Amino acid sequence: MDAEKCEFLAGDESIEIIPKLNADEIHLISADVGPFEAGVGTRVPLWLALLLRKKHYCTIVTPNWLSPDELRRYLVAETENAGLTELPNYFFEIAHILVREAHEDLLESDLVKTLVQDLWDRREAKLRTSIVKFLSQKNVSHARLDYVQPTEVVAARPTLAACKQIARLVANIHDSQQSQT
Amino acid sequence: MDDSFQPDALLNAASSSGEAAEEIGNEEEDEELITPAEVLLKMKRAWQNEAAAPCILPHQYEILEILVDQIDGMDENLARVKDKTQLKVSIHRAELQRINYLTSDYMRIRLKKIEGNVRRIMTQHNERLRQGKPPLLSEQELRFAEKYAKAEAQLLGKSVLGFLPTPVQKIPHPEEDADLSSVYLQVLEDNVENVPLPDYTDPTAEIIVSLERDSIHLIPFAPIRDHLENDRVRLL
Repeated sequence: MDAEKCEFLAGDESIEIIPKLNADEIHLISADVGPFEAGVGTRVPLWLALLLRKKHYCTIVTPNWLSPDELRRYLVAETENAGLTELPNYFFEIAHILVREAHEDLLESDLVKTLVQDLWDRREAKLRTSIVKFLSQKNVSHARLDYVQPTEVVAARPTLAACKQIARLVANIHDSQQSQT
Repeated sequence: MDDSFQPDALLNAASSSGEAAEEIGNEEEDEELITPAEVLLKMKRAWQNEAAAPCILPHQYEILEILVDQIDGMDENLARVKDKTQLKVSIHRAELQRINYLTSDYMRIRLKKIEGNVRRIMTQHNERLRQGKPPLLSEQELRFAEKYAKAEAQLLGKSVLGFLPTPVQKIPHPEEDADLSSVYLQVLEDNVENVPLPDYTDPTAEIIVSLERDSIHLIPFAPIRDHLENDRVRLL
């Protein structure tokens, strides 16, 4: 997995758009979308929203959780909570895609960008400290990370190589202990 | 508006793939009809698992073939449309491109894994067949693997091994150490059995870990392999 694949998957999440045209219902393989009526909000997969937007057929409605107020609330929760807090699915991917491709449609996109970055930094710091703690011991082989986001898993992927090394070392220790006894 | 390209033309495509899905369903002893959307979801999961797994997983070519049929059907429908600039056409094209990426990347990842350790994977494949488990490789992949192994042997023989004394004329056969790897996983179902993990402090002991629904874990790969093959967990 890498960040691009995460964004690809995030493309299937649904998002609200305001179409600028009228069109009948369309039967896609993944789902049916539409009918579209100019000015009336409807939900479509993110990839379709981006496609329509590129052709100037719609504007994208900022998801509720991407408004500055909601983001501040997430930030506060993230500070108060020792573990990770729950975020909407594909939070960082969708935020990243929208800021990159549709920032004119976002409300206060610069502020949103900073807030999302803050949130990312805070979560990353938590993840990093816990990973360092996890890797500097050799008694436990399992860790639980609820509410971790797909991009964060990608960022934490190098840990897996380290885990493998540790597992190999531990296996060697056990082997040598057994051969001694 | 062009009459040859209306929703019902697409409905036909959808229902024909529905039949294909049903056939597969029958083979797998439950006769539920799978909708194209569900097939797509399964493919997405298979792709994600394959991309995140440290070794090659049993193939999911039934799903892949249904999707490829679907893509072909849709392509035909689209080819019949005279007015290529229709919005509908470009939307369908975009969706096809996404599905195409999914299926080709899935195959690409698997072929890469096969090339990485072709002999080991072929032995594992045969072992699984002997044990009556679902096959690791599809027929096409097996053919590819055999060809690749042969080509590799020839190349090594010509370039290096031919010049070495006979006792060391061996083709490298790296150990697969997926058993030592760890993975990130999410639990998909309720009541997934607890998993025994090796206790690093004591080689004879085990630690039991419970897997609650939706929880995410960093966990050694070997003990959860069966859960993965039964779709009870997914890799991240």
